[in-house]
Amino acid sequence: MKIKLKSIIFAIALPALLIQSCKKDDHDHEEELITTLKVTLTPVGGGSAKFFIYKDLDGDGANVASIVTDSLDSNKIYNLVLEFINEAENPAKDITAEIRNEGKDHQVFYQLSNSNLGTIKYTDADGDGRPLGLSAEFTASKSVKGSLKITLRHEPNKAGNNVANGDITNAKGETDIEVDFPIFIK
Amino acid sequence: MPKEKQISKLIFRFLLSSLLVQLIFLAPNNGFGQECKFKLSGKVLDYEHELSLTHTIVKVNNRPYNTDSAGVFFADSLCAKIHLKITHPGCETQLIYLVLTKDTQITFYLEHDYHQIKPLVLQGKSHDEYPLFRLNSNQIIASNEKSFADMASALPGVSVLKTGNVSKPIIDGLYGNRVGIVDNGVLLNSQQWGNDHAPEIDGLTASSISLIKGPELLSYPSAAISGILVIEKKNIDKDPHLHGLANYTYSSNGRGHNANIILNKGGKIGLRTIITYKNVGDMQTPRYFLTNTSKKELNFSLQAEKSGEKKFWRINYQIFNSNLGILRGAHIGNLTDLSNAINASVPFFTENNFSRNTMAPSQQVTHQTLSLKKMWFINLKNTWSFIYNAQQNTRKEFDIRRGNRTDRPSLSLNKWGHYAELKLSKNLSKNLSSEFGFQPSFDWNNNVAGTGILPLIPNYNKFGGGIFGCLNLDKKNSHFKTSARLDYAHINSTLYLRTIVGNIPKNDKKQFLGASAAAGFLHNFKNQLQIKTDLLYVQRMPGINELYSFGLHQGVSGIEEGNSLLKMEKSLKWQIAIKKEIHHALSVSLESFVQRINGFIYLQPQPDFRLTIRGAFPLFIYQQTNADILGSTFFVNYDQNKNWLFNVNAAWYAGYNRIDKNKLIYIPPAQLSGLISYRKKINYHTSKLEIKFQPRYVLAVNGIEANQDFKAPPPDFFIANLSLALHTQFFNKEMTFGISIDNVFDHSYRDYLNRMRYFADETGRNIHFKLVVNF
Repeated sequence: MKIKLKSIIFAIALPALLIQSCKKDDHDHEEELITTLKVTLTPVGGGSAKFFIYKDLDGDGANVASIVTDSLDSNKIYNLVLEFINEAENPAKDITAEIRNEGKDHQVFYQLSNSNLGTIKYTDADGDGRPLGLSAEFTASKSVKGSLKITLRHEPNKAGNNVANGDITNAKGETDIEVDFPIFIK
Repeated sequence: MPKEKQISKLIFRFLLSSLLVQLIFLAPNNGFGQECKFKLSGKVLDYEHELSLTHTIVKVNNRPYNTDSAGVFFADSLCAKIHLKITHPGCETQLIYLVLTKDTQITFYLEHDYHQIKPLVLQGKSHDEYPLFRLNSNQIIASNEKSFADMASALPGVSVLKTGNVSKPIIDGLYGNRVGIVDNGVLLNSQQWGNDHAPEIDGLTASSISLIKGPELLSYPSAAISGILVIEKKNIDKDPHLHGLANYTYSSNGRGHNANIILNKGGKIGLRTIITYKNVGDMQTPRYFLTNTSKKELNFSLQAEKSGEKKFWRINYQIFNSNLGILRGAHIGNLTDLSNAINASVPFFTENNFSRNTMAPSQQVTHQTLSLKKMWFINLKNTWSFIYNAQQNTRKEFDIRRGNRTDRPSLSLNKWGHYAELKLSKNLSKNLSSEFGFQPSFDWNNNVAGTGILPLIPNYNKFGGGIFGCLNLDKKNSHFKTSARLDYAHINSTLYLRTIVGNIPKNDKKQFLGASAAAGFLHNFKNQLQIKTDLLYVQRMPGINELYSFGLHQGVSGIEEGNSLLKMEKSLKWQIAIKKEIHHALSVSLESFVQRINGFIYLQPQPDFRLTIRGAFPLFIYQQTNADILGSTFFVNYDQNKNWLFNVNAAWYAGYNRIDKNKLIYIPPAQLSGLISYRKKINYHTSKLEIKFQPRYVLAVNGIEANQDFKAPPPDFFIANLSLALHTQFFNKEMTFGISIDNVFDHSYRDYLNRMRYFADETGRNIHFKLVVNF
C-alpha cells in the first residue's frame, strides 16, 4: 500500500506542479476606461469653436487631472458635442460610439451652478426617443463666472420624473463620469 | 494493562474511529441458525478510564436498549445479522454490523470526542450542553440551509460578517486574514481577502465543527491570530452496508431548496460521498425584495480510507461551486451615487417580483481540494503522519459594464495552493506527549487574461515553510500545553503601477520570517470548578491584498490601496475561561480575552477624497497601528435534564486603535441572547419532540467617527427564532421532521455586521420546513 499511495501522490502532484509555469498576460490595459472628456462648443452662426477638456490619464491613481477651459460669449448659442476618449490605449480609443450604441442605458446630465449662466437643452435622442445628451445646445446668457457639471449615468431610470428634462434628481443608476468645469462668460 | 490492548489503544487514539470491539465467544461455532433466537449482552465502557457508560442507547436493528448502571444491556430473540447503533452523549455515534453465530457477549469501548491535536476546552457532561464547544453532525444537519459561517456562529466567540448573502466568520472580534478554516487538517487556501468573499466550503461535509484558539493554533501556518474553525471528518464506520442520511429544507424566504445526501459504506476500504445542492432565489425584507440576491451551490465530496493496526490512509476530493448574486442596488459608482443609495428608502433597481435569476453584479466561485493523508503507527511511542494537499480556486466577479462586457468577468482569478505536512507524534512518557511538524507550501495566483480591467490584486507566487513543536502534559486534574513555531515566506508579485504614461508592470519581492509561541493550562478543581487560561504570542505576515491591492471593491464604494511597506503583525493574547457547576442542573461560565496587536493592519480612511474623472471616491489605504481588542462572554445554563432547558448568554467586545485614539470598526456589538427549550419523549426512545425559542437583543454600536465608515451604525434591535423538531421512527427509519422560523415577528432592522446595511434592511421572516432521513 505504501508504494501504491506514493505513486498516487506523485501521479497527481507532479503534473499539477508542472502546469504552473508562470505566464505573462495582457493586464496592462483597460478597455473600458475613460481618461478624457472633450467638450466642443461651436457658436451658431459662425466663429471659432471653444474646447473644454478634462484629462485623467492614470484612472483611479493619485495623479491630479488636467483641465482645459475657455471663455464663452454672453447672449450666444453654442452647439455642444461630447467626446469620451481612452487615451491610456495606444492609439487612443474613442468610447463615444459605444455610449451612443447603448443610448437607452445612458444619459448625460448638465448642471450649471448659476442660472444666470444660461440654459442647456438636449438635441439628441436614444432609440426610445428619450434624450441621450451626447449633443446639446448651450445658450450662454449673462456675463458671470460659475461651473458646469457634466455627469454620465449608466442604467439610469430614464422614465423617472423630470429625467427627460435633464434633472438628475430622480435618475438613479451609476455614475461613469462626473466632471466639474469652471466656466466664464464674457 | 496487557500490551496488546495498549497497542490497540494507541492506534485508536490516532484514528478517530474510536471504537474497539472485543468479541468473546462463549461456545464453539454451532452453525448459522435461521431462527431468531440469539442473545446478545453488551457492556459499554469509556475507553480512556474504562468507566461504565450508563444511559447509553444501543439500537439493535432499530430496537432501542438502555445500558444499566454497570453499562450493560441485554437483547434477545435476535437473528444472525444485526446492525448496532451506539449513542452516548459526548461520543460520536457508532454503527456496527455483526453476524451472530451463537449467544454473544461483547465489550464496546467508546471514546469521548477530541481533536487530533487535543485542544484544552472546558467540557461538560453532555454533548448538548451549552455553551457548545463543538457542533456535532446532528446540529450541522439541523442547520443545513445555512452557510458555513452561519453554522459556526452557534459556537461561543464566533459571529458573522456579512455582505448580503456572503457570510464570513468573525472570531473574538477579528475576521478575514486573521481567521483560519481547517479542513482535512489543512488551512483552506482561497480568495478570502475581501469582505465580500465567503469561505469556499460546504459545512455539510463536516462531521463536526469546532473552534480552536489556544496553543494548538500553532500547529497550523500562523495567519490565524484570532482562531481557527476546524472541520473534522470522522472515520467511516466499519459497517459494510450502505448507510447514510438524506436531508432537505425548503425555506419560504427566497423559496430555497436545500438538499444534501451523505452515503457511507464501510468494509475493507471505507467510502463516503456527500452531495449538496442549494438553490435560493431573491430574498425578501418585510417591505421589499432584495433584487438579485439569489444563490446557487452544487458541491461534491468523495472520501476513501483504510485503517489498520499499523497504518491508516485517506484520500479526499471535494469540489465546491457557487454562483451568487449581489444586491443590484448596492452596485454604485462614486460618492454622489453612494449618498443617493444610502438615502434611498428602498434600494435602487428593486423589482416587485420574485426571481431566481442571477444577473450582474455576481460572483462565480469554484474550489477544488485533493487531500491525501497517511499515518504510520510505528510503536507505542511514535506515530508519523504525512499530508499532501492541493487546492485550486477560481473566482469570477461580474459587474454591470458598458459595451456588452457584462458577461465578461471584471475580476477573474485562478489560484493554486500546494501544501505538505510531515508530523511526528511522540509519547515521551506516560503523561507527556509531543508533536513536531514540517510544513512546506507553494501558492500561485494568476489573474486570468481577458477582463479588460486592471487586476485588483497582482499575480504572485509564494513559497512558504513552517516548523512547529508542541508539548502536552496531562496530569489527573491538570493539563498543560505549550507550542512554538517558525514561519517563512517568499512572495514574488507582478503589479501594475498606474501612471500618466500608462500602466507599468513592476516586480516586487518580499520575505517574511515570523516566530510564535504559546502556552495553556487547564485545571479541574474540586467543587466542579474548571479554569483554563492561555497566553499566545503570534506573528502574522501581511496578506497579499494588504500589500498590493489597488482599486474599487465590488459592493463597496471606496478605492483601496495596499501598502508594500507593511511589516509583520505581532499579537499578544491572554484568555481565561472559568466554568462552575453550581448544582447538577445549573452551571455558569465566563470567558474573557485581551489581545494587544502591534502593527495591526487596517484600512485607514484618508482625509481627502480621491478625485477622478468618474467623480470623487473615498480613499482607504492599508496602514499599521497598535490596537487592543478585548471581550467577554458570560453564560448561565439551567438544564433540568428532563424537559426544560434555559440559558442566557451575554457577549461584549471592544477594539481600540491606540495611535488614532478611536474605536476599530466592525467589532461585533454587545448582545444578549437566550434559549428556552422544551424536550419531551413521546414514545420511549423512539420519538422525541423538541421546541426551542431563541430571542436575541443586539445593542447599537457607538463611538465610531463619521470619517471611519460610510454610515452611522444602525440602532439596537430584537429578533427571535422559533423551532420545532420531531425525531421519530417511520418505516423503520429514523427521521426528523422540523419547522423553524427565523425572525418570527418579521421585524425590519439593520445589522451592524452586514455591509449591505448601507443600502437595505435585513431579511424578514423565513420559515424552514425540514426533513432528515437516516438509513
